[in-house]
Amino acid sequence: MTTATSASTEAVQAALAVEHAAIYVLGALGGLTSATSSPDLARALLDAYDDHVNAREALAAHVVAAGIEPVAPSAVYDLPRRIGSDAGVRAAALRLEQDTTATYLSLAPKATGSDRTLLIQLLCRAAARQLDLGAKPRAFPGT
Amino acid sequence: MLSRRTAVGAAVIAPLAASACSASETLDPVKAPPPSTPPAPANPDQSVIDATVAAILGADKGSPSAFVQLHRVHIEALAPTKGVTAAPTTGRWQERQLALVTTLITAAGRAADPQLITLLASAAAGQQQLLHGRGLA
Repeated sequence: MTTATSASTEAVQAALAVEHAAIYVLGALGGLTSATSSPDLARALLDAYDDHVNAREALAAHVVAAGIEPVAPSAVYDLPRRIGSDAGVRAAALRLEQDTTATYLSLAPKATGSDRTLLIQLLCRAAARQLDLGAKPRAFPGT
Repeated sequence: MLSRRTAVGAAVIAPLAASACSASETLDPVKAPPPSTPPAPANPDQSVIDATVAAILGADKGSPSAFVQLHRVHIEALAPTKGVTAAPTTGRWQERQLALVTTLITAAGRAADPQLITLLASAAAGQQQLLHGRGLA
């Protein structure tokens, strides 16, 4: 494997690690949200969760295709503290998506070929999800 | 009549002026060549930038002002060659704006400069946000 290919796969692995964390945190945030009293927020969290699961699968497939073992999830991740309300859940989920967007943007130049394309596609998805959680559109998300 | 100090000074300066600064060797400041400034190296990504800006301009015809305003910011950041014109396009404005996300992602895939890759990727995300906000993506 060349150095460029290795760096590209490392970028995908780093994104995969981010997705493992995002799935864990969103699962916890969803557990704090009532689908009855806060249906919009519950829907946004569920959509985000599904999106992150799909992203994880796509990234893992790229790593496997490169002949490498995909990075495994950690047993536990730090959860946002002092959430306390639906507004707190929404803010925590938005921060998660903003961090995910920024991470994808930082990883994209390190990847090449289809790896880079996938990272930017997932970057676009993360940026769009921010709007579902109350963010305003920006000219350059992730910067 | 020269004073003693002036006469001594003139005697010291005169040989120097005659040898080092003779009229034939003094450069005319008007005709002097400009300092050496080699042309800036060509940006290997310029064709990617110009093609992307042409696609953006083409997609903007008939599109809502929110898209046009967003793209003004993107184009300014991309710094295309002067005189880039809109690429010919077909279809409804919604389809053209959707296709622009793919155009920006493809351009980011072709670019070599990491800063340009970041710029194009982020612009694609901004375009996706605007489309998503309008229920188009």
